[in-house]
Amino acid sequence: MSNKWIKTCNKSDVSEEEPYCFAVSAEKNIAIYKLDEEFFCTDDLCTHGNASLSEGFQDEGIIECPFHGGAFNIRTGEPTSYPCINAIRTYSVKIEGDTIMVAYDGE
Amino acid sequence: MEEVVMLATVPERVVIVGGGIASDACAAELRQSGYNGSILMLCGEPWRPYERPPLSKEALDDKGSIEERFFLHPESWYDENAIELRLGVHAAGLDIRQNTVELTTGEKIGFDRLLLATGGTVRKLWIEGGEAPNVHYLRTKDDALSLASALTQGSRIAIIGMGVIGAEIAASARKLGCNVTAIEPETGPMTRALGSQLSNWLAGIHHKHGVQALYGVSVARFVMEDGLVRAVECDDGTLVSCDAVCVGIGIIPETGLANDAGLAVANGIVVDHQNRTSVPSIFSAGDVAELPAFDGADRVRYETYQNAAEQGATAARAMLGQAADNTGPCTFWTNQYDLNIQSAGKVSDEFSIVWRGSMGDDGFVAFFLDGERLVGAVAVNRARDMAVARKLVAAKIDVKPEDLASDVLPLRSLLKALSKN
Repeated sequence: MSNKWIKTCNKSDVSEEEPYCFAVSAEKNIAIYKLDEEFFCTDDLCTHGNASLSEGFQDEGIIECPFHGGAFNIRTGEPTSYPCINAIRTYSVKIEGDTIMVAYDGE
Repeated sequence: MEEVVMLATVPERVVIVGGGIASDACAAELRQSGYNGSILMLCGEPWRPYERPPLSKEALDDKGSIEERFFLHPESWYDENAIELRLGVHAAGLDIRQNTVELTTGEKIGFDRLLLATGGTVRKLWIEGGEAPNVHYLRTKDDALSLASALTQGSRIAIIGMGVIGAEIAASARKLGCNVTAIEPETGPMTRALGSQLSNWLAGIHHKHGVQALYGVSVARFVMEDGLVRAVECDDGTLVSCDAVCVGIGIIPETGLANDAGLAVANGIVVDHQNRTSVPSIFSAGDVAELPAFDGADRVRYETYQNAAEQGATAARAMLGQAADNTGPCTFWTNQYDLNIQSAGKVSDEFSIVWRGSMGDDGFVAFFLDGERLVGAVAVNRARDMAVARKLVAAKIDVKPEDLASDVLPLRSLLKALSKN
């Protein structure tokens, strides 16, 4: 399926300290991060446990899972700390005016 | 000193006894730290390392969901990282002069560095009927599957002990529609982990969810019929009829191997701040290890996920001669009903509490202060605050109560002020 740009939140909804959780469907949330005036997006559900990464602690380019201390690189989705070993999926982001658009293919 | 000289400077063979979180974290950290030698993990259970936290939660109320999230890593991860797993094997002996581990089969395995991450076994009720088929204990995957089959809608479940495990089972059992009666000698659930104020609050939550609780009473005996426990008689005379009993009264650290080999053992295998035992080539981590406490005043044994993982990683770095230190605060989490409770550091009635939010709220944080020193924190449904609180507790700082209490002032600003100093 080809990527479709979906509207998520406004730039002002996201801060470097508080990632934004956006529901793309009833089952699926994505997390949107601000980093050095740029925006990034990953799945919200940690690849390790049943935790919401947007509830986690963002330390510059790293998001730390709020439950087990695992962590991911926000830009690449690569795991950076145990017990996370599977990368988190990342999504392309573009800005239209004040709106953050995310390339989401519906899967 | 002689023993230190005997150590191979660059280890080539690491053997890990145990197949839990600490073992797995140790193996992962060895590879992350550039270790290229062999890693052999001896797992007592017939499967590779898995998550224990879901055993008292998802494994009970949603058996189908457990398989995919059950194991720590896919099987291929161990192959890719050249970590050899031996499943269902047990160490029977340890020779600290020959640096060998002997299996129950008689096979001897040599090592340059050894990790003892043998965990613990559940403490059992040594009363008549304590081993009856409808008396459940919870430590392993098999235990969880057996317990899950007993938690059917409408069944009468007696829970003995309302520590973390008992309280989690109570919540899961209510979710499954069981009639739950809890028996706990303390004044409320999880008193040791939460202190009395939060324990009283949690007692109210369990009550609201329909758990009938008998606090301040102990089990006197089981009333048996046809080999099964039909009722629990308490020491105040109360009789609790039941279809099944769940006992959660703690674990006994598996120190036998270390003890027999002559390693220093107290309430667990004694280790230093690098998880090194009294024998320099041998390390210990996880539930079985007794280490210097966070504040250095005491020695402690933690039975938590994060501490096991951190200790396993610490031991790995220390094995390789790299910087390693395990003296972070104790941290844990528990999920009960719609509550996520997380804790860091020291939580006890001897400290004063500063509330951020209040106990009636959907989410709040309790900070524990020893004078002006922040020593611990418990967060309920405030995972993001907890991430900061953990770092504040770890920093061992003095704080102004009004800063912690102010919901207007982001906790992160306290952390930032700290990093500027």
